[in-house]
Amino acid sequence: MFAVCLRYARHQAEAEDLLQEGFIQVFDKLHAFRMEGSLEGWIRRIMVHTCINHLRKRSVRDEVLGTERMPERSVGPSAMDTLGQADLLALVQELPDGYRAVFNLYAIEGYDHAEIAELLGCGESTSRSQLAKARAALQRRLEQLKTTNYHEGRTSDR
Amino acid sequence: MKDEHPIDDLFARALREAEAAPPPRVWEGVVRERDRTHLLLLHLRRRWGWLFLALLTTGGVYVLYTDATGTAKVVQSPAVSAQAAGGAAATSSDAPGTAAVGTGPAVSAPAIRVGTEGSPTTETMHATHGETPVERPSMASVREGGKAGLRPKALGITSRATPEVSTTPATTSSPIHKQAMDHTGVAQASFPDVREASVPGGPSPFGFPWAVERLSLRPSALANTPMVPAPYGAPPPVAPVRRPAWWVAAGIGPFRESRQWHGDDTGLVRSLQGTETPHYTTAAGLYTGWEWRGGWGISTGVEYSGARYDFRHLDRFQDRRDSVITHVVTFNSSVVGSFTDTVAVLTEVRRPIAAMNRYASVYIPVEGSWHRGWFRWHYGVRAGIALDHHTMRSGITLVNAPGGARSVDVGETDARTDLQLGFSVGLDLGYAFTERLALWASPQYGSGLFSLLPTDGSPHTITTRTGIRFRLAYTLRPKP
Repeated sequence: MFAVCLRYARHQAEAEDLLQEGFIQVFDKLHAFRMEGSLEGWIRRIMVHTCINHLRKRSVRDEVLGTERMPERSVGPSAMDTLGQADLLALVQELPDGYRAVFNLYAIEGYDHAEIAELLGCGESTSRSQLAKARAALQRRLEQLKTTNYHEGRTSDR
Repeated sequence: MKDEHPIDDLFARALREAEAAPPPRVWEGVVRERDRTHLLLLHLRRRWGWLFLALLTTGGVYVLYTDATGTAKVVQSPAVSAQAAGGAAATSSDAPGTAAVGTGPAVSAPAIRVGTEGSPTTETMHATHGETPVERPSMASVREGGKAGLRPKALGITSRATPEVSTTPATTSSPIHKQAMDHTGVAQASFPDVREASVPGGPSPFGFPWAVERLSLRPSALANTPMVPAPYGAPPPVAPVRRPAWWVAAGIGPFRESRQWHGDDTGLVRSLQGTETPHYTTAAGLYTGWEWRGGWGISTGVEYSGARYDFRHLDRFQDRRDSVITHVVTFNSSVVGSFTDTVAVLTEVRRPIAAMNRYASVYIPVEGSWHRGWFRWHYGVRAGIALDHHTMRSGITLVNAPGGARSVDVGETDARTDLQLGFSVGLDLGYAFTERLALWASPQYGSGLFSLLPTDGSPHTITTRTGIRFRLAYTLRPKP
């Protein structure tokens, strides 16, 4: 669950706060768990909702990142080879709150745009555009990291 | 349909099942937060908390308001006020013998001996800054002084001597602080008049009567009268006992009445039974009663109500119409003879009748009751007898007719009024807004027993009423 919170938070301290708040919610609503399905999934949903509510309270969903639409390019398996979980998590945390929420919900949690729009209180088109911008921002950061690694590799070869 | 993107796949594979261990402080925080009271408030707020808190607040404000404006206030004796205002020696001539001693850095303050003359238990203390020695009595000497009538004269302090006492303003932060600090004869000497008046027959039970007075809530009417503490060793105070009292009340409430027909004419009674469907009726009345100390009481009153009934009946009877037919026999224009026949024409009548019957009822209950109290709530039972006089103001009733019963206007009959004796039982639940004003809700059941008017076997009704009565009662008891 802490990993879930880390994906939605900007930094570890915020993730800890979210985790604490989420577990308080879990204990508070434990009587509402109907013993159907996975307890882990139920707790995970509460965590996600806690994170989303936290983001909504901060009213950051309207935050705009000034990145233009970038063409989609394929990312080869080399990225996974060179980047670990921590690096990818750091990339996600670098995203603005609105992009990060939409990207997490869509790409990792598996929500569709209608559900995301309902969760975040925005329109589906907003969700789509923020997802596209999040993908573009991540792709650009991956390219930068790849270039940096390349140059670092060249330098080390010398 | 979800659009797939390599970026999504990359991050999903890496992060979906990722795990991270939170630091222990998170769990400590969860436990700490769970224990905090605001979670309870949060829980209450989500349920009925707001309503409960609103009621609680309203009740609290009401109680505080009534206490603040009506019956109690903090009492300050003149000596206390003077000292509170100046923090200095109160040497007012209005309070003879009053002597207050400054506890500040009294440069010229002499040592004051407080206690009975020649008391061997006197001990010496220094004033606040330790510059002026002030002797104070020990606890034992205070009590002894009280027993001996600790008067200013006995203390060696008189109003004439007061100017000799330093009037340097006290350096303590507040008069209350000063009072709390000076558990000495010095401070006690500030209120000799109060103590004298408050201990008519013996010593102060607490040793520090001013503290009792300062903290007591007293009726405003008694603000200028001395307090009389309970005797030493007296039993603890108990809740005020109920006093015998008259009360008057105005009441209103809905009830439903049903009527059972009785009489010797079983056919007509059977026809009348079930013809009327009652509406809910509102009764209003005035009541008075007397309640004894133990909660037993007796009450009476008069209620008026106007009842309405839907009248429905299918008339079935034979309508007989007699016709006279005269036969005349003539011959050459002369009447030979004549005879007359009477022809009766019987018609079977069936007609539905619908109407609204209206009754006026005067209800006089005489009831005994028993009540108990729980804080401001009261509950109990009541039972008694009742006279019920009802009059049919308008509507339709039935009379016998050949072959059945016929509907007639009630104005054509003489059986319009009835007086019956019945009984009533009920529960009482009351809430006292003030000492005198209370609202009662009394669900009750009553039924007639027999008619007090001679019926001669004619159809008459016995009524049954079920309803609730709300009474706003005012107790005439004078305030204790």
